[in-house]
Amino acid sequence: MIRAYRTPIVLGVIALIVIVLFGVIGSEGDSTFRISTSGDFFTVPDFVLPSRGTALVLGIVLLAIAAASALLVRRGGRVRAWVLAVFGVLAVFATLSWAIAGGTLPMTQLLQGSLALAVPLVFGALGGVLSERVGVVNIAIEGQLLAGAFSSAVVASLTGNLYAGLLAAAVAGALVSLVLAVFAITYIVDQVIVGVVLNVLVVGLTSFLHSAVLDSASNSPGRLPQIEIPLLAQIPLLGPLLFEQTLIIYLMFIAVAIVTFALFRTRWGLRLRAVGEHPQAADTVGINVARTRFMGVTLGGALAGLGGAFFTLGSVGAFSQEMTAGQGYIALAALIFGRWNPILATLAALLFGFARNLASVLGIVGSPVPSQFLLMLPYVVTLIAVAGLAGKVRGPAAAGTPYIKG
Amino acid sequence: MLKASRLGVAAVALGALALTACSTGTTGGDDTSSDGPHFVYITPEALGINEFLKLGDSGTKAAAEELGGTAETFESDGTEQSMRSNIEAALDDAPDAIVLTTFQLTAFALEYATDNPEQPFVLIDDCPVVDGDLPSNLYCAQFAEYEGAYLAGVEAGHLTETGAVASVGALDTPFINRYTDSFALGAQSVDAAITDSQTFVGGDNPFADPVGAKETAIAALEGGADQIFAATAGGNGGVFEAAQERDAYSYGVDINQCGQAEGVVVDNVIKKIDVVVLDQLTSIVDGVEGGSSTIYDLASGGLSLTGLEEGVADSGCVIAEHPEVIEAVEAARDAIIAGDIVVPDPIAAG
Repeated sequence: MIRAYRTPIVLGVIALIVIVLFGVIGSEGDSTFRISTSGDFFTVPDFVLPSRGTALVLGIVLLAIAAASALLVRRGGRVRAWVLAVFGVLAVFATLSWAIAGGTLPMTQLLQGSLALAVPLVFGALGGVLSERVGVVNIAIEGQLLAGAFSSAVVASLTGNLYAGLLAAAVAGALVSLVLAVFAITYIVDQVIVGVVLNVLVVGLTSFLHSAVLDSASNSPGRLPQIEIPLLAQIPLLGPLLFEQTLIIYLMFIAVAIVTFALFRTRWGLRLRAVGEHPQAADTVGINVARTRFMGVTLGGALAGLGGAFFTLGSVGAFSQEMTAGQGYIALAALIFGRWNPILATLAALLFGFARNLASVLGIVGSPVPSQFLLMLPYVVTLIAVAGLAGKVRGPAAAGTPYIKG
Repeated sequence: MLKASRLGVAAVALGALALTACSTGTTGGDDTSSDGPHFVYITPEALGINEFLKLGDSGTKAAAEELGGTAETFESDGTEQSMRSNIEAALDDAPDAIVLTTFQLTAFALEYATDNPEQPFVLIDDCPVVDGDLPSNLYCAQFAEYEGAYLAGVEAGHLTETGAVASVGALDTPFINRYTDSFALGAQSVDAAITDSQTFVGGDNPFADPVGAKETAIAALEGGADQIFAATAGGNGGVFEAAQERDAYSYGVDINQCGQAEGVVVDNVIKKIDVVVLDQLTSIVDGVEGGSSTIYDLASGGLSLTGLEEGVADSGCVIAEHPEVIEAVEAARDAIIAGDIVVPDPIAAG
């Protein structure tokens, strides 16, 4: 009985926290949200709101949503995902208006940074989706990202061509996942073990090559230029975010669209999913299970590898040891939180990126929140998201189990 | 089928082993049978492109030569097993001192110094915290990073045009605050109206996250700062990249990092590990009792800025173009050495 009310209870608790902490106790002063940047087509004035009043009003709206969803559950309904999304956005907005009281929050920069931090997560999660949808658990996302980061830096430096570097990143990611595929599918080794070993292997290999072989000539690829789409780039907020980015980020948008379409709207995608859900049935109707699995895993690795190129070609411009810094594991969390769905996983990745960048931006704005708490934020968000709101998630039925024909 | 899968695991494991094995090894190694003192320098990671560890390597060899002895270097590969086996291999030689570097070896320094009371150990850049006394055969050498960071802050105070400085640290801990807090204090000593902001990388791997460090730095620079101090270890490249994009100046740590981003990095708080090694090994050869920690600060010369050293003109650092700022920093350094300026230590403050 209580289980059914879990979502409304979580929502209600959050609403009460907002009302009491941000509204009643709250902090004095106005909160300013800056939306325009200097290069915009037209200027949107700053958005100024009284901090406490805003939090109070939003808190009451949140409480109303929580009450409505409790009623819905009582009548036997289910709280829809979009309700949760609206609730989440309002709650974040209330928190922000409290945290920046007396200061100005640069929205464009906040979102731009969030997107940048989310890029490897999105690619990693997409790679994971493809691999797990065909029934192979992919713990090796971290290794694929790192291999992509390394080889893109080296190839781009040696050839002097950044696009060759991008290609090399995809190939490197595919090669790492090919090893995963061979051991997991052909030799039926436990998939989790192979994934973990691969991560260690790539860390060791790239660290060794980095310190023993690389020098400034083979590790200075430079960065991809920003491609500005005329006119569109000057739309306030959305322009700098969506239309003034490097090639990798455009590729990311395209990849999300293609993976989603291919997986759910094509015969090829249906076969992929069939293999991941019920390989016996797929085999019976004549789908080659092993080959389909190889294809899904390798394609997924290529995508994750491409995401690795963002670390070097898209952001820092040089490879450094273990520079993926555990993002592959966060991508794995985004994949599960996103219920093995490319679009939801992308949104989850963006949420993680947002939480991470919010910590930096709030640190600058001078909010009353201690910095240690800010650094905790991404993990708190993950915890609330996965434990409180995601509910029971179910992955592809055959993920992790090898298929032995016979 | 089962047999095939076991083979698979074995093959993967073997591959991983082979890779880690080849990154362990020894370099140098003069003739160990000569009469003078013999020293072994052990690193936590491969020397590779790690300039800090390399300086310890060349510094130990130079110190040995100065003392009429020999030195060799054992490189670990970042794993505890390799550090352990390197220390045990060194113990078999019973050298006059075993030199260990960085906090990664701190626990081992304490353990092996306690178990081998006759063997002198030098630990550089950290010191174990123990109840009671340190083993008398353990010689710790630490740095007063806050003094160097203060001087870098003085430079930032002179060079800022927006009147705002910032620092990016790996984590908000008292040790990292030695850099971030002191940098702000130094800048504000030039002009009390200069504002300061501090942000921290955090995340899963705060000490090796250039992408996270870059985004954190961009947030700080968007906040109006035009001088940014990079105390993020492996993430510093990301901070320099952010400074380059936003036409800001940055400051590095440990070694001369100016070459990583020409025209962006103003100066570095450098730890002169070579000076420290020579000093420690000399006291061991002279029979000075250990069991304590020596703090190397501006006065003792183990800590400095690239801009205060000889060869600043060829350092690639921005500070070389600002001799008037160097003069101001020299004055501040002299005042600190004379005790006229006291830079508080965030660790001592708790």
